[in-house]
Amino acid sequence: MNRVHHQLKPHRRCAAFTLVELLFVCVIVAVLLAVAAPLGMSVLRASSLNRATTMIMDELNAARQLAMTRNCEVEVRFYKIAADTSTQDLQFRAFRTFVMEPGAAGQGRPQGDVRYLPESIIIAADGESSTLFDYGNPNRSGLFLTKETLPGQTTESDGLGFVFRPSGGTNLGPIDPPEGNWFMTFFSQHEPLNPETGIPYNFGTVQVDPVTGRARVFRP
Amino acid sequence: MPHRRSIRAFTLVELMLAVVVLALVVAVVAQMTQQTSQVWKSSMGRIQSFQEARGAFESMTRTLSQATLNTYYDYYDSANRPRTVLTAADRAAFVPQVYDRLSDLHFISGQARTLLAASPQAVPTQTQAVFFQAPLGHSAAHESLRASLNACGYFLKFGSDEASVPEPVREAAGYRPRYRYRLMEMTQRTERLGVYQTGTGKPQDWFVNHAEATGRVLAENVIALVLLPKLSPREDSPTGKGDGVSLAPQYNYNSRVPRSATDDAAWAGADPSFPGDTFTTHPPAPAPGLPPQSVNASRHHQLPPLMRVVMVVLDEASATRLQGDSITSPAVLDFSGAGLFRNAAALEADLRAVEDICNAEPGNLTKNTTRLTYRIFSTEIMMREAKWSAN
Repeated sequence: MNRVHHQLKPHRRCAAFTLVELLFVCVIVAVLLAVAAPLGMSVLRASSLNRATTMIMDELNAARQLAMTRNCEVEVRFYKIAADTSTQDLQFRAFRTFVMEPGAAGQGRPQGDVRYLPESIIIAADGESSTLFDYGNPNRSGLFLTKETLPGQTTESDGLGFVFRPSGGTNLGPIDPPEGNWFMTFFSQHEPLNPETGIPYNFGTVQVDPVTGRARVFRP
Repeated sequence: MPHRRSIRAFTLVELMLAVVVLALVVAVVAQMTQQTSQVWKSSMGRIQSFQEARGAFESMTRTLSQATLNTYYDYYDSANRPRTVLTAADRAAFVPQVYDRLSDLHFISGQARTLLAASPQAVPTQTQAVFFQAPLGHSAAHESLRASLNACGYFLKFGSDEASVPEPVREAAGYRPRYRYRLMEMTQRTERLGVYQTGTGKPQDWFVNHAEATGRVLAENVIALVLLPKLSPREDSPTGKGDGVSLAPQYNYNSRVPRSATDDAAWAGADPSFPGDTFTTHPPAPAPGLPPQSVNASRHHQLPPLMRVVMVVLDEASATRLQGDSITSPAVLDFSGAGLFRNAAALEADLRAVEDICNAEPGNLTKNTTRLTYRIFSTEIMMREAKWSAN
């Protein structure tokens, strides 16, 4: 009797949620996600910008230290490369240090590997945002062009560089403001641009003192 | 009935409740994360600001210890004038009288306001400044000369950072010029060495006219830079006389004070004044049992053998709180108005007074009520090129 009763009882009543209820929950979760996602993305981008700052500062400080301790000239070269092989979007995304030891004529010896900036972070190539890449400006001196095949690449990459002297200073000129203000600005490629300045709202600037070679960072 | 149990499930209300609880938990966690990151950021800021100051202090003391005068000996006439300062006509009639120290270079340290008072562009500054020549090898045209001579100097400057900040940063939304006390470094390249420029100007023009224009920021939020030329304790203080500050009792020291001059004509009217050439040191007794005897010494064309260097630095958070949106230097940091750092014998007491100001102790000299995070860097450096002799 009992058994029959059980079978007769419709199973539908055991099902917990109706479709509407489930959908409702889904909508709430979706709304929460939609609110949190842009926040998370911007946090991610800011952290990769932070990492880029540390990388560039470390490289410049290490190069300066190296020039002073080894008593020889040290070059820092920045390379224009594509984010991946499918695109032709060449931007300054990588850099490397070269030790110009007195014995080895001309070429210098690379110090460590090529270092790549975090994905989507690029250094502005225009002379307004990065005076350190303002090559070809007759008022500036000290920058040099380079063309090298980086390890793991098949084609040659263009690059620009400058030199730290054994005194700790650089070969950059002029040294007096306003033209002697040497800096580079880097930002995430995918962020919306500020129409007034042409670069994103969130960016970093590294300034190099041409006389003492000391680097300073600005994060507005 | 047993079967009722299997029917039970979550209702919408229960589910919503769960979501609300979850949201609450997330909110609490988010707030905690934010607080942690805030604490981390502020402590990082503190470490970094003092890191910059520490680096600046080390570089400054290293450079200062390389200061040189390249002293040689030459004749002076009866009016204590060397041949180098005479006109051609006077030089023909030059009668040598004494053979004494002479130098083309210049070492000067003292009250920054006095030293930079005649600067073409006003320099809002306080405490001490120092200007000297050192073989640093900064040159654009002669880069292979590793030890070519540079003129160098250190002083504080209060002002905005607009001139030195890169353009993209200046144009960024939310950029506000930051008005701060900064430690400035003047470096004159070898080819612009002003000390050899001949003309009708004053002997101190080489730094007075260039300090403001060629000064670069070395560290921010440095509110006091104290520089005290000293003799070694053996030559000065053991008898308790002179307080160990005979060389520069009021911090001022000028290596170009004329020989045997009783006061320094180039800095007439300075307050506190620049001392004359001769002074008295208090070395220990020549032998046990004998009374200690003071010795006359002279300052002209000598480097002080020791320099006491003290730097007081605030952290950026304190400086922001103190400065706010004001564009004038904060009154609570007006150390010269409070009469501090004028008398070298009171250096330690003055430093304690500055600490009281920063700690906002009741009754402090400038009536400061904001607690400031500060650090004091202090050292005594040996001037490697100093060849001190009493006469």
